[in-house]
Amino acid sequence: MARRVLLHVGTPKTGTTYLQDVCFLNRDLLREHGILYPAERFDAHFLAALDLMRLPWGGLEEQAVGAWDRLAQEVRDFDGTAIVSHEILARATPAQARRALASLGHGEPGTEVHLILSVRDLVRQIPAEWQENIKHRTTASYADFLAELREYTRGGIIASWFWAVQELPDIIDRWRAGAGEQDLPAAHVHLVTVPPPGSPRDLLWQRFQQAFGLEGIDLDLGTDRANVSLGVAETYLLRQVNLRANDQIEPPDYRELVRELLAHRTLSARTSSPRLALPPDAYGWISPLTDSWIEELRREQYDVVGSLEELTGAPPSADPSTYSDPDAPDLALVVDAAAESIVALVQDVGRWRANEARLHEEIADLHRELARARLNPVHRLKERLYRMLTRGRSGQRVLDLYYRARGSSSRLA
Amino acid sequence: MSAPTPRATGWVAHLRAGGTTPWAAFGAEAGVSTGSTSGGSTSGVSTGSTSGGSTSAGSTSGGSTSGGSTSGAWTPGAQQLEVLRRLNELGRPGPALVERVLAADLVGRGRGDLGLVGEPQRRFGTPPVDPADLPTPELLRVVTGLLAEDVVRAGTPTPPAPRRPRWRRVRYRLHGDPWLAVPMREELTRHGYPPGGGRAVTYLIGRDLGSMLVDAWTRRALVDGAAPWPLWLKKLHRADRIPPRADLLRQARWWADRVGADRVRIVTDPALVPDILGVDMPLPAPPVLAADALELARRVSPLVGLFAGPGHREQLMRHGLLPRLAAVPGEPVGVPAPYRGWVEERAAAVHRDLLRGDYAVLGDPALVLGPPPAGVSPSERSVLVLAMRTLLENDPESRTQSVAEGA
Repeated sequence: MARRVLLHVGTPKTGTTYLQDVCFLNRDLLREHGILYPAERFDAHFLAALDLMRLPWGGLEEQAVGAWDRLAQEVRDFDGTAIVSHEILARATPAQARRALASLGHGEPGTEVHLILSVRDLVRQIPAEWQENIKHRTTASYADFLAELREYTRGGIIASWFWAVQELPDIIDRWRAGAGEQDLPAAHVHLVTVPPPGSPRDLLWQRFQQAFGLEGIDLDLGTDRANVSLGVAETYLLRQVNLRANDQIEPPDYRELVRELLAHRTLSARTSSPRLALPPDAYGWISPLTDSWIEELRREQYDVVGSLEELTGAPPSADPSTYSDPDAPDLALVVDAAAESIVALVQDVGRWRANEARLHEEIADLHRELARARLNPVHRLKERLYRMLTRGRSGQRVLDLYYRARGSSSRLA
Repeated sequence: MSAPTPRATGWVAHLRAGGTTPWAAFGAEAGVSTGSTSGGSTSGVSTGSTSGGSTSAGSTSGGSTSGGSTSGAWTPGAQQLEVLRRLNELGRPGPALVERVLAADLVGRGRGDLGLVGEPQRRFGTPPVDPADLPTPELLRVVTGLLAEDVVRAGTPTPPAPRRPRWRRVRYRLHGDPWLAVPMREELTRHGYPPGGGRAVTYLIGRDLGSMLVDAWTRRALVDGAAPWPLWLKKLHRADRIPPRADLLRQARWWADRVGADRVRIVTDPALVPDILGVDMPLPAPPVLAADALELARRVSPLVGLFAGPGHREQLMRHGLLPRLAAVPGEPVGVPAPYRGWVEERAAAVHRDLLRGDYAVLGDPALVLGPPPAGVSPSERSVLVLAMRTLLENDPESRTQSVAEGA
């Protein structure tokens, strides 16, 4: 039975992908140090979370059946520290949290479950979440996105998801409610704050190391699956693609060509364009909200790795001219980004064409080999016999008998 | 999380006992004390503020619903409670179903368990609601999850063992409109005529294009997951294309490339198939589903995939849920007026291609020109009622209203 379970439940856009990749890449080494990261594939914890929360996800959920129970069983079978991490767990209801905690052994003698949240200020989270939505085919403008977040009932798909995975006191509250009578003491809730812009590059990783007990382990950090960010013009361009292509591009093509090729490999490389930011007028409602969160988190006396003050976020510049509106970007930059995208797509098509030509050559080679094989007298005899038998009904019956004798797999489909 | 007031626990007990009083009317009607919210007001309760677009109001109902017991110091979500209230209006849910509803997960995207307006709330979380105001899709999230569990639990009846292949082989393949072709193929196999065989002829079964579009969506909705019918049709219209499953000529080209055009036939009248194959047996026609039944199937299908795992969804949906839904009365799905002209134009193009003579056509080619089927688009409210009725019928201890009244 795992003595200590570190359950990392979010939040999205806080370096979670990087942490998960490092853990997956180093899972053998971690085990040598008494730490279990139970995963046969890099998205194992994502599938487990889908299973736990019964969340359909574009067909992927069918691969997730039973994934949570399998993961929990591995954790329970392990004698040491186990790490479970996925950011969509932030969205769990109290009932789902209770199932998760119980399955991980919470409340059983000798097992200690710790809830970990990596957290970042809303000043950066809001534009980052909008961009993530755009990369997943959303067509909502930034203004509409912001308006939906401010809508009181949170009834829309965007708002319900956003607040479910970003409202820190509520996330912790749901998980602690899930713990029920077994209780999840405040000392077992840990917040890892994402350092402000301009901080040393590896500061967040150091905080993760501290929170997850990874210090002193010589981990291979060579992963390139961290989420990448887009600029204002690039996000605008992608939204225009969504507006025109959602009806016409199948999900696998969108994933491969739009999200991977265009967004991640092409547009994200354009780092000189203005970055997405919170509109200056939005800080007015974000700031008191964040203050109320900080007050609540401080009052509960959760363990903090970093500083709760970092959740305040840097106020946008008072000069409105420095803000670049992603709903009305500099069109010259958009054209530039579009031209680069076209080049990238043309190059990709070129690679496909070269690949197709190579495959045609291989097929031609195979045809030539087949022709050579046909020169073999035994083969020619077999072919002649087959043609003869398939001409008449009685011949076909003989063939059927032959197929049955050999087994049905030899029959034509 | 805040403990519920006697009003809330009283309402839960009222619903458990089969009550139908809406939450808003409950305190006053039943004379239940509203605890700290004296006089039914929400004084002292943070119900949030709309000023500045506050998102700090309210809280979830806060309680676990696992284990089936919900009688502790918390209430289930407003969604589950409202579904139970409406089930009580429709009939008499048995005790096991009552507990299942109260413990139900909210499947898919949307808000989490919601609190009841007027109850003490914390400062954070989604604002509480009056359950009567919940939009229909929120309630459908509760019911479709439970229905999908029922479908998976019930499984499928064991099909009769297929006959051994007959000595007189019929060498055929049946494709085209899968809604038509798959049941025919299964029936033929069951009677000893498996598809395939040396020099088999491929028959592509079709009918009027409008019906084939409905068929293609029906199959997707049941087996693969699909967008809602109007949206799906709108996308096709915008792209001016017909889906591969409804595109006989495209399928004919595909098969011709593999077996030769001389072994491809297009059949425009499905009733001709037994004669064409020379089999002395009727072949099944697929059921015509009511639009609401089909929409319910569309919503349940991905959840069946989620609960049952890969490779089981089609069997469970086609042989488990479909026969039940086929008995539901109602108007079928039809091609809405804005798209009828487009469907007719595309059908005329298919007709011209058939007359070109690239492939043998069995049946009158003009059959593809038939008028697009008339019908309706599904209604969310009707789908919810149907879903709840089906849930009651699935539970042996529950009764629907008509039965309950007659008792």
